[in-house]
Amino acid sequence: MSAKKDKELTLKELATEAGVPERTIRFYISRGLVDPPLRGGRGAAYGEKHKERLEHIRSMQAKGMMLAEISHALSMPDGQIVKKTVHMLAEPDTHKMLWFEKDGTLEESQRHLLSQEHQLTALAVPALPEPETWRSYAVAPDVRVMFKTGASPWRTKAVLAALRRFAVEVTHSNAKEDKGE
Amino acid sequence: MSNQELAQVFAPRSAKTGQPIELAMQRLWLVGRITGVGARLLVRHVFRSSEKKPLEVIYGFVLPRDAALRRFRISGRGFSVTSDLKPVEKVRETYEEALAAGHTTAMAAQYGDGMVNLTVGNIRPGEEVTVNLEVIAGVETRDDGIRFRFPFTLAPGYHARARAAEVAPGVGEIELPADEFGDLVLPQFVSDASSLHEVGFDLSVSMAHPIVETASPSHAVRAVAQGIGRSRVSLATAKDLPNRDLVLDVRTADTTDGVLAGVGSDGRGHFVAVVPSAAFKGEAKEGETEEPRRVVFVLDRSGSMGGAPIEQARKAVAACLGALGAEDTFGIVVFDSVVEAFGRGLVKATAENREKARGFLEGIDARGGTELASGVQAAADLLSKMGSGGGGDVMIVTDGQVMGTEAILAVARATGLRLHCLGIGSASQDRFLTLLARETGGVSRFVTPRERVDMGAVELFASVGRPLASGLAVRVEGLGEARIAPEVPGYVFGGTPIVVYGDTPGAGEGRLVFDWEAGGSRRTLAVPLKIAAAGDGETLRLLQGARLITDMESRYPAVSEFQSGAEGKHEAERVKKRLVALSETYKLASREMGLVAVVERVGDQPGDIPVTKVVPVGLAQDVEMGAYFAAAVQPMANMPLASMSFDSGNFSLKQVSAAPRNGRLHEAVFVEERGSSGEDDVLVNLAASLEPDGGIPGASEDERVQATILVLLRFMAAGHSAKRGAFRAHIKRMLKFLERSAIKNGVIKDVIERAKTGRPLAGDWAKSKPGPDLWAELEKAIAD
Repeated sequence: MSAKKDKELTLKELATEAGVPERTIRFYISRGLVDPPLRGGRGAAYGEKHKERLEHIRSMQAKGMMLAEISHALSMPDGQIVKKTVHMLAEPDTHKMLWFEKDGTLEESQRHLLSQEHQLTALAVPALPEPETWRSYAVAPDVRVMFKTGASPWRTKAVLAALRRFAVEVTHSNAKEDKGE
Repeated sequence: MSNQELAQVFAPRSAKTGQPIELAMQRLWLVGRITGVGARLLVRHVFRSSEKKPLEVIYGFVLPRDAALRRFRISGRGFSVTSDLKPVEKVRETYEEALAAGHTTAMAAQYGDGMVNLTVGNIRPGEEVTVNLEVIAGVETRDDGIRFRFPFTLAPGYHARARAAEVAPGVGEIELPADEFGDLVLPQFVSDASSLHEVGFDLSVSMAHPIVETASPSHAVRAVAQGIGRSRVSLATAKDLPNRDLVLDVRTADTTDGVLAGVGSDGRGHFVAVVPSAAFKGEAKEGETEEPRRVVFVLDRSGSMGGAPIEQARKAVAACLGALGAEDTFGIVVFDSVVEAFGRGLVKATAENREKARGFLEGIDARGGTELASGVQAAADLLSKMGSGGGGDVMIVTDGQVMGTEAILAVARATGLRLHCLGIGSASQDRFLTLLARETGGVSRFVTPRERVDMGAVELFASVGRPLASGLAVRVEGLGEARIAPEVPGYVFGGTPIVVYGDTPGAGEGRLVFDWEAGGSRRTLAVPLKIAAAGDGETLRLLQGARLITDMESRYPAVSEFQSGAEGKHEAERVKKRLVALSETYKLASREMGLVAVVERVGDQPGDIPVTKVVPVGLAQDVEMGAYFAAAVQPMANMPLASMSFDSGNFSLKQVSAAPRNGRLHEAVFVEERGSSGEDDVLVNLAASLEPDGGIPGASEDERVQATILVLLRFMAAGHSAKRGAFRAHIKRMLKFLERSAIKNGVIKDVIERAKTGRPLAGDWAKSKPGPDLWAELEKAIAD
């Protein structure tokens, strides 16, 4: 967020104009979601960019994104498409992959892409080959599953849920074999 | 070595990494006094800044039952300032202005569900600041004492519009909708609480009757008697972790009524009377038959109930069914994100239906969210399907870990049914479940994970079976224009005393007159009421205020109602005005009035934006991270269910399934034994095996009578009788079976008498079996 010559606001004015309480703005600044004031100390001031960022955060929240997800989205380089899972508590049918632009918007065209896995793959930006660490899960005495560390929480969540089902299945089939069924 | 270096040496360190932990809040210590009707507490929060800039700390917590904040004192080196009570908008304005001016400041603002944000701003670099927060809180009253509960952590809760994620391994976040919860900031939930702030307590207990026992199922405590009815209870260890509620049980010797009274700071007389349920008992008239019971069990199967709680809850419902006769009717509703019911309406408690119900319960596992309102509504629908007669009881077994509870309360009140709640968990919603039961005329009880859910459920079911009294009314005589507020419940249930709050124009002597119906006739009871100028009138005034504020806060209309039209808005305005009036009268905070303090010091630097930190809390120790912060697990037909704990990259199966039995999937559960004992397991299973006529199954009448006697002896050996113990309802049914049996002899007569009076028969009858020699063995034992 670059500082440009625009109307300067106090924290109180910013809170009023953006409709976000002052304490919440400080909380966002501490989390890195919003830049610090243009000037620190006496006469701390905020600009239009701060206001726009707050409105942007609110619009992403309205789409169901959490602050952690917003933070992740905002930290991505400009122009890159970010892959997200939106998880609503106890609503399994919403556990699907959605594609958000950096600004958090979800266009109709992207919704259409949702159903076409190969198109998603084509759009995804490949990760650079960097050193990787993996977690190893011994799901059964004879089965081990590897999962790369550093995945986003929502991705981790989905993978662990799948692993759980898988673990149950392989354990169950093993028990059946033992009984000669 | 400088003070800062010393602080580094002695700073808390992570048990895993050994690195110093920079905690914005170092310590939370609870002190104060607990009485038989409530507690006056001081919660000491110690904050320390390790920042190079000014620090702002937000600590989120939930209020205990019937609680309100009175005031706080913020202190540090060279300053000590007491808070002011102001409307919430003014509190925020004062806080922000002080912060902008560079002053150290603190505010306590309350939100829905009794959640509070205590925010301390502009703690200077390296500075330590203490906030002593005074809390007035209620207690769970029982005929023979109290259970006190204080939240050292905040339970994550389900809300249909909440967003939750595990943002880092072992760290969860929940965000609630702003239109309902405003700018409430919830803490991060950390699965490993060992690196968080330390907690502890040092409390004095003062009861109207001699104390028999002080114990805690949650913490190791040191209890020291300090005279009749007084003791001091403190944490036995140097410190503890913020991952569970503090639960204290105080049992007294006497169960006679107790009245506390005195003159408050407002010059009025204040009293709280506790009258045990036994005082309202009326014997049934000759030939009078009891009305058949109509009961719906509502079982929470949400993900947070996973493991031992759901297993014990299943058993509990099965055991409660054993206390029903063939003339009684029942229904079962289980809920998570969806609701399922056993049958389309209530069914007769026949042997066949109970067996079907057991099969239904065996298929229940923990999953999904906590749509409690839908569960309650489904129970109401089941009861209404029975046509004429109406009424009935609903017994809910839940951990109550939900948010947005005002909407649930509105649904519950609208059903017009009595809801009895059994709360489970190390950080359950005591405040909410108390309100849910009380607002509907029911009873609530709580068990911790270290206690047995099934025993708690059977005990509650025995208590609420049939009210001891109905149509209860209370008035004050001889003390001028006295007031009783809040109103007393219309029903009295066994084991739960009636608590009456009231105030009078001043000191004096008079009496409280109770009027009720029991055993088919009206009865009255007069309790002397003496209000002296001395006494604890101010504490009683505050307890009354906290209770009235809590009740009023539960009346906020649901957001959907508020947004849907003028009626909802009008109701919200009415509640707001009433809360402001109550806060001003009792000088207690509420959702409309908060607390704020400003510390002006030399050297305050205006305009510096502080670093804002939120104090994390420990995930309640019995809650798995995955219950709230992982994808919901879908049930898999004919598949075993696995409960996993992810730790160090591995997990272990805690629960596996065995082969189907009787055509149904039978789960063999291998979970950590938490407070269970083999004998209790046996008793729960025996209770569940009662036939609708009250007897134990058998091949012949003689075998059934003998088996029933042996089971009775086993219950009696464990301290249960027709009058006391969790299984008293079951024992009464067994006695009825024996009394109605065609077989008559001296042994039966003696055993019936023993079961009524609670005199066990000497000997180990657990291994005995029905047979031709049993009558002689019993006769010999009785003769000896």
